[in-house]
Amino acid sequence: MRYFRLCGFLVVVACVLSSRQARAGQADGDGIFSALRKEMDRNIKGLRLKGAPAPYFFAIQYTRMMAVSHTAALGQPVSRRKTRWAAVSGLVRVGNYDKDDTNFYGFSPSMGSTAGPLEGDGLALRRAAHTIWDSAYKIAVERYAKKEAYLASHPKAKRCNDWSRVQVRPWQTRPAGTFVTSPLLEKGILAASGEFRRHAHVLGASVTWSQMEGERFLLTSEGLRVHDRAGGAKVAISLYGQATDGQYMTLGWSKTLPFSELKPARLGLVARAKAMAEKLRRLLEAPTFDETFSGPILLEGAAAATLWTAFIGKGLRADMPPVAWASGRMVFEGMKGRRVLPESVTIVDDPTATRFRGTRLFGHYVTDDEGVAGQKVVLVERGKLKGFLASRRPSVETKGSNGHGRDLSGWSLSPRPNGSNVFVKVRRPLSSKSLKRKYLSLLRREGLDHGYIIRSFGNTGLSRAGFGSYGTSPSIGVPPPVEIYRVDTKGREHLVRKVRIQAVQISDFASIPAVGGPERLVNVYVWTGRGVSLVYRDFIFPKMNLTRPATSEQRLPSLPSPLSRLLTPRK
Amino acid sequence: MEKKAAVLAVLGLPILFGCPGPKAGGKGHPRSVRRKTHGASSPKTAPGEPVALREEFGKLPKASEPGPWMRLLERELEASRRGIKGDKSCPAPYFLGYQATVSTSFAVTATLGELSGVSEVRGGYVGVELRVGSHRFDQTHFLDRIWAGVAGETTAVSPEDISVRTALWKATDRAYRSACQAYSAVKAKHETAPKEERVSDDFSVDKPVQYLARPKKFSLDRAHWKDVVSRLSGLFRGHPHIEQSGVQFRMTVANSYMVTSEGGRIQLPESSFRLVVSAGLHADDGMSLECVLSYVGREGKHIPSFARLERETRQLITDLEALRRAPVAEPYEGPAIFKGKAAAVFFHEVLGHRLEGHRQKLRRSGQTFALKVGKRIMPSFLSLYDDPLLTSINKTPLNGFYPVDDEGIAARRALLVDKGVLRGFLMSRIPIPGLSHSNGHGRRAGLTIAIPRQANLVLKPERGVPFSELRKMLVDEARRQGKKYGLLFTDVSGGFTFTNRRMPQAFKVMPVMVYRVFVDGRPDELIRGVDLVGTPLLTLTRIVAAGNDFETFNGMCGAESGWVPVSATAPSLLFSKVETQKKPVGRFRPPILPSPSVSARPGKGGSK
Repeated sequence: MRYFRLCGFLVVVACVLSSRQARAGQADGDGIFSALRKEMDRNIKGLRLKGAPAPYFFAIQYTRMMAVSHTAALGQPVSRRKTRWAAVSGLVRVGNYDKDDTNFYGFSPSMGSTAGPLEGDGLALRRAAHTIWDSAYKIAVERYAKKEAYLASHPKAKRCNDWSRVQVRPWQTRPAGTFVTSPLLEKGILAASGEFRRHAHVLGASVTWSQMEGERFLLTSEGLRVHDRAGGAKVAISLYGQATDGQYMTLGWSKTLPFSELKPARLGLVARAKAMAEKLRRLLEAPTFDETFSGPILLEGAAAATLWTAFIGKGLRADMPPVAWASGRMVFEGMKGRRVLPESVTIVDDPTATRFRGTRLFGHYVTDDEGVAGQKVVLVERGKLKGFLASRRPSVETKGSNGHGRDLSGWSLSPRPNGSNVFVKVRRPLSSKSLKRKYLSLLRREGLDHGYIIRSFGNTGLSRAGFGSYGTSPSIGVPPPVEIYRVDTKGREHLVRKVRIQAVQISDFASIPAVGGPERLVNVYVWTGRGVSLVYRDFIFPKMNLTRPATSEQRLPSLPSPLSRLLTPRK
Repeated sequence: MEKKAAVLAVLGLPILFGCPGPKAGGKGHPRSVRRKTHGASSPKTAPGEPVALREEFGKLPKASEPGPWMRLLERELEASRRGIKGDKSCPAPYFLGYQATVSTSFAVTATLGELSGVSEVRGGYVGVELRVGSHRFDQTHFLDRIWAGVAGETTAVSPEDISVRTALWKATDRAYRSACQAYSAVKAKHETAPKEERVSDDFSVDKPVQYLARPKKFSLDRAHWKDVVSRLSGLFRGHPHIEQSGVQFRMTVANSYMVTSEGGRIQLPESSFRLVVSAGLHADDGMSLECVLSYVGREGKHIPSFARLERETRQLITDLEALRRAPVAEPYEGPAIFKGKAAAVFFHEVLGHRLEGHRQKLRRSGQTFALKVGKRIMPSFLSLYDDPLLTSINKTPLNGFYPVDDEGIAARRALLVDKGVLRGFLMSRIPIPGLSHSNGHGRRAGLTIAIPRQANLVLKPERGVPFSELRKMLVDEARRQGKKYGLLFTDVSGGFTFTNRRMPQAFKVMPVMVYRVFVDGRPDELIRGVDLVGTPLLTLTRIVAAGNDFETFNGMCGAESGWVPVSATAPSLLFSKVETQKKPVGRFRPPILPSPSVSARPGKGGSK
């Protein structure tokens, strides 16, 4: 224990030092930008290959980061990691805004990255930028030539420009605070992981507390200059157990917050661990799903968020497939003005919103990751498609950005259209009770003596990657539910497990029979300081097909676990 | 101590490498002799004087009492051994081994005079190995599922009862499941596969060791190493042609505890360091050139002084610049000298891996030397052995030292080739026909069973000549063969060899520093773009003379059971004939713009 107290002290000291370094870094910002600018000017003038198109856009980004993570299991620390690193990454585009080297086989522009100096040494930054741009330019020239050849033989493949011109806005963020070093937090994860010692059905569990802090300097040849400082802390709990039939079940929970909002005492980690252990026990004891079901499904809480997120991510992002993709259409391409949701539903994305009922919205920003002012966009109005989330990459539906170019993977230099604060607004929503009554009546109307309510899919739907994964197919994969209840037509519920749900069609959202329940908020913070938020309600999905999963169960352990030996009184 | 590293082999698997090393001058070095020319004379077998090596067997770690980790592992092992009863589908394990490791590592990287990364990690880990079936036939039988029966789990960094027991229980359960699955599979395969050519047991009966050394504490002057790494990387600031450069340092201390159901009890502290200096550029024709200095070793005290690191880094820069200007070599067949370290890497790669015992049994392996015990495989003036107990040779610390192998068997010397005649193989507890016991070479660094691996490989000639004499013999041999020049390999970056019989039983060694030694007395000429290729049986018979100038490379070797520290020591060798081929060219031509070469003070964030 003494060792860890010492480590805790060292972490405090290191964090104090690092915050001083961060302040020093601010003072050095001009020197860093000056070095990057000089190298950019030199490359703008001279980076040319005879007979090849010249670069028309340069970007360079210098980041320095620090991360700390502590993991505990069963009340004991199992690992500690502390890392600082710096990196330089950059890209070039050759050709022009109408046609350049991008959007050919993939989404990523021609780019590169390398390790950078932690203290921002000018020569090291310039050498890194020089090397990155040189190879990125050569890659871009090759890609451009291949794309030209492809388009010569597929003249209809290119249906819009490759990039749009904008008036970029430089920005500078305030420091995001510094690492939280409260001993309460460390004690909290030890205590929370120790809670699992009381639950013999928990075969494995870990509690992790990690923090990330970073600073970046971004410069582009269009005049964008960004000095960004951000950070956040994440607490995660995961546990698993095995049912008597051999099925493994895993539960996970995590929360990422800005340092300023990380209050160890308020996280209630021990209580959460206890509740999760109890939830796992209920799941393990639940009977298995033993039929094939086809009918309406009531989605509540986090489960509803998962489906709303999938709909928004798949249908409402103006993210054109690259020209060489065979399936070259967006899912809702050409659908503007047509019904995609029930008439009662309107969806708006508003990055300028800062709070929802007093709670901070993590999706708020003034300028997006491409330097474009964030704008409120009506996506669906009274059930009809009105607009898309757009970045600077044009599509057949959007000519320019509406301030939704987002780099949610963490300063990767590859923004894509994504949501910010998405509000699913419902005219005359049903109360929770009415929604359930409506669901039960639907079941009766379809001649079913029971249905299913799904309350979670094991995640909140929104993630640090934003709204759903990309795809051009109109079907939406549905993850296996974690909390699914069989409900009879009198409203009695029983937890079941081992259910698989077949993919649903995005067009089925237009037939949603009812939306209601309380307005809920999912708020996901990304350590770069720019998260995503979704305000939504529960709803009934018109039809889902539920089956048993094909996976085989594992045999039960040959020996009882040490915990169960400890907790089971000897006869 | 070694100046460079290397890395070697993997057999029929992807490979890897370390790289070139410094060319410290000195007696017999090509730079000191490159302007000399010599008369002709035919090479003789085993010329020169008898040679001797100063071998040292250092102090073993101090013996200690079994600590709380050992007691905890013993208790849990016994509980598992009694508890797992087996059933119709799978028998109870006949062997069970538990291991716990707590490691701490510190790493720092720098580029152009400034740190680019710092990390510190501490963690606990338990590993379980179990075997089902019998010594004669178990789940490892065909050696194609060497991960079956092995599992690991993170655990507390202190021997806290319930936390460690739970981790061991989970790992045991997983290991037992995978062992049972594999056992069913090998039993079925045994019925259907073609009859085995060479039959032997699957696990030897060997005497377990009780070895309890005192655990080590992690102690390092972090500020000092940050400073060293920064300063070394700063040496590249004045060299704009070098497109990428960096310095990395890592120090790790791991305390391992192992108990087995056969009575093995081992408490073993291990420490290791690795310092790597790397730099790369493109030649004018686009060829990508990279030079790496790698210093690896067991103890912090073995890390070279800063003065030496600086000198050798400057030499690396000089070599890289010289390589950039060097002409590209054409394919060649003719005589060549492998200078000490290059010869050591060559032997590790070309012969060492092929003498790992399990490859003589492995069905898919080429089994090049399986039936050659007692037969001559190379010239009679050469002997080869591997000795994990060696701590240094000629005062150079060896990276492959260990007192007990990863199967808990006492390490000992394995005589492989005696005066040209094959005498044995590197053995773990995987028996092969004719050899049913381990010689303490079972090693692993991951979740697999231990397989036989090299530790400290030593090639020793009966007689050797000074390097200058060897060089003279090269010139004479080239002239005799009607060549304008012979080749001198002073540094290699690594290599690989195929041992899978689906592939040609060939090797490739990647030299970095290669010189043409002209028969007409012109100065030696550095060339680039050379890869050395060949087949082992033929190449070994073409060694015609050895030097008396031993050199050691220390590095890491990768193969099926992970990366393990190794060394190889050899004299310079003269081959009557080798074959080279061209290296692949790079993807891009050199940078379009010259690199920024302005001077700027580190840490001020601006250029002047």
